[in-house]
Amino acid sequence: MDSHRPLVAETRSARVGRVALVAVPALFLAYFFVYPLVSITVRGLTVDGSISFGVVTDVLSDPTLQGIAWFTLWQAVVSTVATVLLGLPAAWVFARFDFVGKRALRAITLVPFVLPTLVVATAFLTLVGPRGVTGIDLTGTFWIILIAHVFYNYAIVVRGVSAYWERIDPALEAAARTLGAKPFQAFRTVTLPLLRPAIASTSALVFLFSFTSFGVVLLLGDLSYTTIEVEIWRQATAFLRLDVASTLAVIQIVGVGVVLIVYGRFQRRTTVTFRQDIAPPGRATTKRDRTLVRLIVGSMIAIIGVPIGILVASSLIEPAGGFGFGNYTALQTLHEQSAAFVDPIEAIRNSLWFAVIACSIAVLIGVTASAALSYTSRRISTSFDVFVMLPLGTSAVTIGFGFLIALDWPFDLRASLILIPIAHALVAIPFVVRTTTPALGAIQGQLRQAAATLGATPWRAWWTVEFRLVRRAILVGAAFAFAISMGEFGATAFIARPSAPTIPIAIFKLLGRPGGSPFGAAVALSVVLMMITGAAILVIDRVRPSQGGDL
Amino acid sequence: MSVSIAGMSVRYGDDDALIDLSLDVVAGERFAIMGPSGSGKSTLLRAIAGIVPSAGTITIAGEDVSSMPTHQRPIGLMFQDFALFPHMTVAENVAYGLRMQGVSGSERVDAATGLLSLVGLAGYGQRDPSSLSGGEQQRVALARTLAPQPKLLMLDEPLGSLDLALRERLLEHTRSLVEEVGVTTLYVTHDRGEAFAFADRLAVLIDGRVAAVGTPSDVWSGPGSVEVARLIGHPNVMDSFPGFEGPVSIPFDAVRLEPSGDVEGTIIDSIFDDGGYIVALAIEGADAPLHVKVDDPKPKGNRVSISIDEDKAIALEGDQTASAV
Repeated sequence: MDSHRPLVAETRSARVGRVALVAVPALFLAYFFVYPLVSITVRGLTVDGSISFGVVTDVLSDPTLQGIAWFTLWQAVVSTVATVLLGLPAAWVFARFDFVGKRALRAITLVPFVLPTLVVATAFLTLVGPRGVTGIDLTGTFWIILIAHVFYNYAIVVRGVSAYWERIDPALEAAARTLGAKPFQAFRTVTLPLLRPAIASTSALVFLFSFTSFGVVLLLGDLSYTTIEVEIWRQATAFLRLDVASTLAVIQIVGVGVVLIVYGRFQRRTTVTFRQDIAPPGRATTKRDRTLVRLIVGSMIAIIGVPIGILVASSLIEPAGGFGFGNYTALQTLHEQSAAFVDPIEAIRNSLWFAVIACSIAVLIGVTASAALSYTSRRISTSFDVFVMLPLGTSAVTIGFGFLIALDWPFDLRASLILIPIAHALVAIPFVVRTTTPALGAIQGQLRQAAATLGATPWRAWWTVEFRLVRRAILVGAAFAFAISMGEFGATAFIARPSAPTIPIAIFKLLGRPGGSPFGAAVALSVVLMMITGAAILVIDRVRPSQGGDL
Repeated sequence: MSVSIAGMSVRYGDDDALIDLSLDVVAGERFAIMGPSGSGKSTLLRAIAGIVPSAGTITIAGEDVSSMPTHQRPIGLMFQDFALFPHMTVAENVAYGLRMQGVSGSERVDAATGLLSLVGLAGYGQRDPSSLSGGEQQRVALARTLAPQPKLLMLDEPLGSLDLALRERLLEHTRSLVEEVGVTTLYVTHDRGEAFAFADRLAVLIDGRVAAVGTPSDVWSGPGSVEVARLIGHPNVMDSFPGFEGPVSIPFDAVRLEPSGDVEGTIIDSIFDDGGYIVALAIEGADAPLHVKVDDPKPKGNRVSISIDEDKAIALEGDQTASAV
């Protein structure tokens, strides 16, 4: 009966392992996420150590701040509605038809999503900014913010809704048609109600991203339009009003919390039983469908392609006129002209380092959390799930600001460069969790049991069976984390040291300088950043597993 | 309401799903479309419904519906797996077609109640479709399809997703219901038993073409081709057999075991079936074992002699797909 002894030992070590799986991500998030948020709340709601709503009342009754809060809300609503209305037809085409270049187009829809906000903002500056190629200057208007938000969030709606849509049996809509429903009637009475959970949950995400929009609004709103997010940054860094910034952050957290709860509701209510055996969509068969598919695919390419194309083209227009690589060569020399310029080459080097570290942290914490989610009891895992996903809804500026006011205990970390990749990792962890959890969940428990009956210890079973099956999903999550870190701006704006700028910080500094040559260099640096995140997208598209690996 | 299909063709990309297909169904007739999977039988229903575009003419009750959009065609189609709307109650599902016709709410409730009791589901109106058993879902789908009073009822593998015991009962029920309503019906199935039991007449579809058409007994006694004979379940469909030129189907009643028989074979198997036994004989010159009905089991390996009544054997056309290769 010797062979029974390790089994007992294993159950005990398995229990220890399970606790560790929950504890590692939980402790990380507790210190780097919850503690800073609590510090902000305390700072916003107390004066000299006692609870006081003085600052809150001041903020709520300040007409300027009221205006900012109101604008933040309605621009987010309008951005969300516009993005959903534009995204639905594209989601329909992806879900219901096959067409030439579908796979490539699906990969391209990822581009805006991992495109850094600063690059998006720069792209729209080259299009409709003061130095833009169209000659129309929309900066400081609501329209440019709306267009940028739609561009940025379009893919979330298209990918999220189409993934759901293609699992709804096409026979349902066909059945409605045979029962006398006109095409749009069938959509309205059958398909739309069934899509509602997907539309609601993607809308909530788009709303969150627009509500907490930072880089886009900061650069394109020209301070005539400001969101709460931008105002937190301004109050804290320009006016040094940490109490006002904290109060605004608390107000924003409450708003975000409400949306997250709604989002969670709809995520859980996706109760429509999907059929697994739906045939893959075919080519459009009727003339009407072919025309629609062509129109919609064309508009998708335009929506995504035009800003990116103009950005790349503009980077090749030299400040003195003519085409050439002058803007790129200037990246190497610009900082020698004036001490005010950061060295873009050094910024690239810094960003790559930070991205590698952030990516490692995000994968370590994210995969541990995913494993915890799939191995622990349902009751623990659902609340843990919400906890892990929280950073997704928390604004980057809030995270950076929280680091700044909280992380002087027990050690003063605020001057440490490690904070930058940690902040990036916090933003990226939800993405790693969302890509790996479905892949882990798809693995049959029997595989693990089979490995155990063949003599594998839990750790060996995980390494030889499950890890092999989920490593593609992990790689996708890592690529997301890398791209997110490369482009992260909101949190970095708070904690970056002048001695160690990142690419987005360098772009921001360059855009703040007068003259054509810093602008040209900013555009060129944006293209460089886009190429680096683009490489990450290639990885994501190439290794995408069949289960999970998407947002 | 008679239905006439002339020269119907459907292409999916480069594949021909239906090729120049013509079919006439008499008013009130129960007509089965039988064929293996991929033969185009579901496509035929979808083309008649206008869900997939097709060339050719479709005439229902004297009216050419070929260029009408789906929602204007006077048809009802019951889908495989029923396609019940999961976000609606049973009653809302049944009343959906009437709602599209603009029938008022109270009339719809009355009609749905009436139809549900017609299919034996009175009192189920407020239930969720997902809470019903497969057989109940089938009957809701039937009620929903009948509600707008289509001139042509089409059933696509109506029993395909149900278990065996349920099928017989529901086939009976569906048949008598359709008879009671008196609607012209197309019944698509891959199962010969269902087709024979349901239909006044049937068509066998192979590779997008009508391979045989007629009453069940006509098609049984004159299948025409090897493929049709195999599909409708003839026990001995031979590509070659001694004494016959070309393919032949040898029914059970054409074969007798007798010592004076002129054909010899070796018993290779013996299985119990329907109270008797079926033995399989390996015969020199035959491309497959011959199955013979006998009263008692026979030991394997024995040599036996048989005689074949050539008048009862059915000469067949060759296997077109095989000869094409």
